[in-house]
Amino acid sequence: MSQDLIVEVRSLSVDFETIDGALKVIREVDFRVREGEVVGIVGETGCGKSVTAKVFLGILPTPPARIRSGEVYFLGRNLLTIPPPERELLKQKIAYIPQDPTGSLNPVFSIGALMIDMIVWRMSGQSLGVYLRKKRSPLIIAQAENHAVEVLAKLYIPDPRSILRKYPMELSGGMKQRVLLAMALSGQPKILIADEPTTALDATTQKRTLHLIREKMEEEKLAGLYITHNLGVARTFCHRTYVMYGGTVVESGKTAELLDTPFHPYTKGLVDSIPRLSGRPFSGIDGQIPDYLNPPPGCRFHPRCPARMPVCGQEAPSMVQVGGERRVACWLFREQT
Amino acid sequence: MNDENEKIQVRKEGITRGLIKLSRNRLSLIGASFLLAAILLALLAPWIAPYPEDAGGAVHFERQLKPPSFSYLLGTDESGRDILSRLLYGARISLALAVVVLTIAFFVGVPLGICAGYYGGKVDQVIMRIADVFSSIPAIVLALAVSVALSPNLINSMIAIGFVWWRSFCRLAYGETLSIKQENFILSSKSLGASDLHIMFREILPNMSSTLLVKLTLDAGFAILVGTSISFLGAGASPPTAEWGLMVAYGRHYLPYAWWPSLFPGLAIFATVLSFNLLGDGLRDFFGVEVE
Amino acid sequence: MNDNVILRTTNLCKFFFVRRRKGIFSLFPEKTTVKAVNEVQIEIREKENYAIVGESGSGKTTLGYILARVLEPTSGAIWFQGEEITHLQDQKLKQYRRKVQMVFQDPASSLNPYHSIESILSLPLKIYEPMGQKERRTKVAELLEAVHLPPEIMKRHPGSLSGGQKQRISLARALALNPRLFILDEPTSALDVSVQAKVLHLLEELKQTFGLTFIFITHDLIIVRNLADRVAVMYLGRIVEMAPAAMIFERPRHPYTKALLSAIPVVSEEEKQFLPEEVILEGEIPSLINPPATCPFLSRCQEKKAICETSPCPDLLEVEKGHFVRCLL
Repeated sequence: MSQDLIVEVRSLSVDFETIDGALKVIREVDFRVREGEVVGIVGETGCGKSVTAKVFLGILPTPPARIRSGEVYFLGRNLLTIPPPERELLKQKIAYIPQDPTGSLNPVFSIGALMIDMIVWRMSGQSLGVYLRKKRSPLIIAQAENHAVEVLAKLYIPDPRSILRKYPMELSGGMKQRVLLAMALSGQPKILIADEPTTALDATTQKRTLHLIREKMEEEKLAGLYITHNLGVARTFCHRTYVMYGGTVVESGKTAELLDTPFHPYTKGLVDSIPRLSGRPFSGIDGQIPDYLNPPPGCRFHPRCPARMPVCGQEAPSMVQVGGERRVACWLFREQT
Repeated sequence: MNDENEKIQVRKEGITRGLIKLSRNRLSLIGASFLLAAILLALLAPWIAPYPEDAGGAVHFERQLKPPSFSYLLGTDESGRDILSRLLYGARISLALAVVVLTIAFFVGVPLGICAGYYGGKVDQVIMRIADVFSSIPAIVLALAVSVALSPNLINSMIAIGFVWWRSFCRLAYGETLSIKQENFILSSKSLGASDLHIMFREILPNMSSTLLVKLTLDAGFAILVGTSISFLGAGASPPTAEWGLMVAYGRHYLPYAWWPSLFPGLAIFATVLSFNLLGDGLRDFFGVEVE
Repeated sequence: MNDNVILRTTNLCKFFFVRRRKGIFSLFPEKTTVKAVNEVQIEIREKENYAIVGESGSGKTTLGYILARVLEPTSGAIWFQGEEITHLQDQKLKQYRRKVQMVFQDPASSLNPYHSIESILSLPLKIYEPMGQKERRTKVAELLEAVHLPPEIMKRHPGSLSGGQKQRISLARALALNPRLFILDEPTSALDVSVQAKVLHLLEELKQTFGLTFIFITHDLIIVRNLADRVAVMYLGRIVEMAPAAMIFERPRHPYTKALLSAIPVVSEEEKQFLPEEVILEGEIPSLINPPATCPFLSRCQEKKAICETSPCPDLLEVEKGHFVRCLL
């Protein structure tokens, strides 16, 4: 594994156990994130992108989910196999911004209380005893408060000290997202994982928030994993993108190239579905997402694919390299150097 | 164009699915089984009770206070009556009480609560303030008072308890209505011109069905408890009726020498109420609802 | 008044009166006014696609509710097919409702999960048209066919349907009474891109088949570009710009419109040329409570001049044929 790989996921397969049987939610997913690059995972509802992120963050509830196989490397260590204390320490280097900012801020605490608590915990190196002691020291609290103010100011939040006294419900959506971003960045993470962070925001706020996130990431030279269903946002933001369908990665490559000349029929269908400012006609994709209980044999997209061939229903294609950074999992394409 | 609709996915049907999920919770399964058995026994009591005449006023002083044995499985009470038979008949009374009380409470409390929540304003104020007044008096005290006022007997005590019980159903329905009426489908029905009655009872009410079901189950246990307490205090069923609370009351005088006349009815009450609670908890976890 | 104007409003306002305490210790609550919709004047022509665009807090959804008469306006008037419908009640309101239907935003919450599809689609029929059960069922099947859903689906419940299917049911329900006008509140925001395209095409088809007029309430400008004939941009309860779609996109005049356009995330390089110069809006949307008497956009406008701070709110002026702007610049 090369030096500058922050994240490497290999052959990840996850099942969900339900009353009706096992849902084969994720199959053979590979992706990697290098230092300083922003990688997008793009797909529609139910494609498994959020589940993949949650596996990485370790917040997937393991009954009913079951990781069947695969390795998840972060900074060279496999998060699935290392002992929990080491894993917790490593996870401190991962920052996460969720989709809905309202649900992530405890409404009964002020922003200041939330941030100070987090900063003091970080200072205590995973030890509950140290944490409790530190929380009683006014000196430490003052230090933490100053750190919080610094971090908020870096995100252009006006009058940070008064924000610390406010409660989450007093802030707008965009402001809450910025506070979460500040909290995420305050721990000097190595990677920022964002799960559709701007879906709940207005267009103008979205633009501003994305601009801000990108600026901060470039400043801190952070790697990023950005999960979204909006291809336009992926284009603005991600150097490389993985397209997921039905729990599998179907195509990956440099974002601009991928969106301008999509190879995989699903990516093509997706790109064609997007209405354009130019007024170019757009069409959807027929069919429905696969039933994870009994997924179609072979390529999971083949029942809806306009270019399907007999082999597509028999064997699942593996990812092959088709020039430069591009990879496709489709029988229409063969390995090229 | 619409292969979207092909292959309607085969999943286990709603009810089967529900039962499987429910059965995974062992405790609620125990509760449910016990209740099923109790209901069955209560229904079949006239046929399976070994000494059916003992459930009424039969008196056999020659066999009073005999300890449990093969002929009298749970022993006999101070009038020589077989406790097992009386227990079975007592089950009929307690379960019937639960049904009567909850029926009154449901059909009075729920519509009032829905109206209060739906119309708001003065209707809301009037109904909820009345409910508040009822809520400020403990159930047993109020039921006792009403029961005594109406002259203490079994039927009156059932009415009295129902009188008291409607308030919590009212409050629950009120709260649920407040949140359900914000949903888009209600707005849509309104904008289509549906009548208020339709919206309240065909659209809003079904959406609180799981909450109401959980409450009915949990409350059944408490209603039985209140009923037996009232009888214990003498304001409910009167002797020689085979009612559990009454049996405990009369059996008290012979403790600790003859423990069986009080213990077995007491255990019956305990087991029944516990079962309703377990089942109710299981249902609550299953539906994921919040009930008072 | 034009012959083919189907709906118009004059000085439509919707104010909500809220009593707020200034602080814990203040004895008397102050009466504040939330001016959700402020002096809105629009004219919708028959068979056109009219888009009302804005972000949260702009008042567009409230306006939609008023036009659908789910809410009553505080002042102003609404005219439909030449008749005033502002304060209709009971029977007459019911007649209006037959002709103007609203399709709500979130398909999942627009359908009662405890009712079967048949029951949901039968409801409007039961309320307005006396017919036997068999007749109703046939009509329901017809409606389902119009939205390209199989008739068997009427036995199912919303919970087992996909987002796209649910949205089609909402459309079918709106069609049940042969309306003339649809008010669609964010019809595709909750849908995936591939499904969205299908639903939009269905809307076009329904329009052709039934001769409908559409009012789209949305924040998605790309859809507006592709579907709308005319566009009205709202900010803080007022219309700040109104023009045929092409004009708004090619020659936006109001600073807020320019900011909105520049905020669109585009998928391809070629589209970038359609966007105006990049504008990043700072600040927050000001509160709708007791809004200032000046231009509503003043606090965040990046092109503002001294005169803007001292003048009252400008009127909507026609700057070129059919193109109206509310701005002093």
